[in-house]
Amino acid sequence: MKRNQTRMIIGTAISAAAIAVAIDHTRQRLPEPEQQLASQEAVIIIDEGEELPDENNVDCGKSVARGRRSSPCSL
Amino acid sequence: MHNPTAHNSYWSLRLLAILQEMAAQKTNVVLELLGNIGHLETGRPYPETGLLFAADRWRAFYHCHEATSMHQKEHGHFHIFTAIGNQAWAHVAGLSIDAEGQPLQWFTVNRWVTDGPWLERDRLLSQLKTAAADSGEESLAGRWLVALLQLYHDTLNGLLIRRDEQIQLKLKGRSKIEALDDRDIYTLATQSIDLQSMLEKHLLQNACADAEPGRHAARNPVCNSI
Repeated sequence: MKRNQTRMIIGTAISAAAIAVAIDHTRQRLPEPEQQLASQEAVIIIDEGEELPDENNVDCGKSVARGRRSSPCSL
Repeated sequence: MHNPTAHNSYWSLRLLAILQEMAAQKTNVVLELLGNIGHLETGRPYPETGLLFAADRWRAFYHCHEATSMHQKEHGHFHIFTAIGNQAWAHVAGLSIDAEGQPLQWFTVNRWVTDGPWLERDRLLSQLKTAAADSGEESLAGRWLVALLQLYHDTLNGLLIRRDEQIQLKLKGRSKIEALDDRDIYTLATQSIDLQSMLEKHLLQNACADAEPGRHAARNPVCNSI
């Protein structure tokens, strides 16, 4: 009975246009991301014998020195 | 909810209601999270300590890259984690978002990227079954995330299967632990999202397919037009 009621609600109240309108109205421009301020940049300590960070190796917005055990997208 | 059709219809309805709520406020999931920040900084997680949702058993943060991105049209992405006890959080999936706050794709990354425990697919899916957002105190962004995770349950299952296949392919004689810590392996699997098609599929097509001939379908003009 409950399932049939759900079907009827879907059948009578929702249209493709309603879905499109709901989605379209959530299309709101996000702010452009800016680079972190210099004073807030992370300091990476390089151990002796370790490679320097590769500028192209930027994942999840943080520089990662190869070989280090850092996790750029951890909580 | 064991019936996949009922599950998908239910979460599609929930998500549509959330989208309508966001539409009325001219907002989306990312703007909800960012609030009134002055400027958005690359590399910084939003919110700083992550958004707790689904009874505080799930956690997500949003951030933007400085140079690389997971998708050509990506503005930034979510990383979504689930609590597994002892204050540990396991990464479930990433979710790319475009410049207008719309979901673009799911993705999984290697373990070293997000750190934390590496959970088997079955355990992650089991965690997903428990995720709900029925509390009246749940944030709009939290409810959106739960609804999307539930609606894309099958997609996430497929994504995690491909994640595991990729790791197996990349073992090359090494242990799994070594492969999961290999800095040359970053993205493991991606799956694009078409939210409108997904909602139409579960709210219109399935509803019409399930309707008894000559009864519910006949009452719904949409069923005659698709």
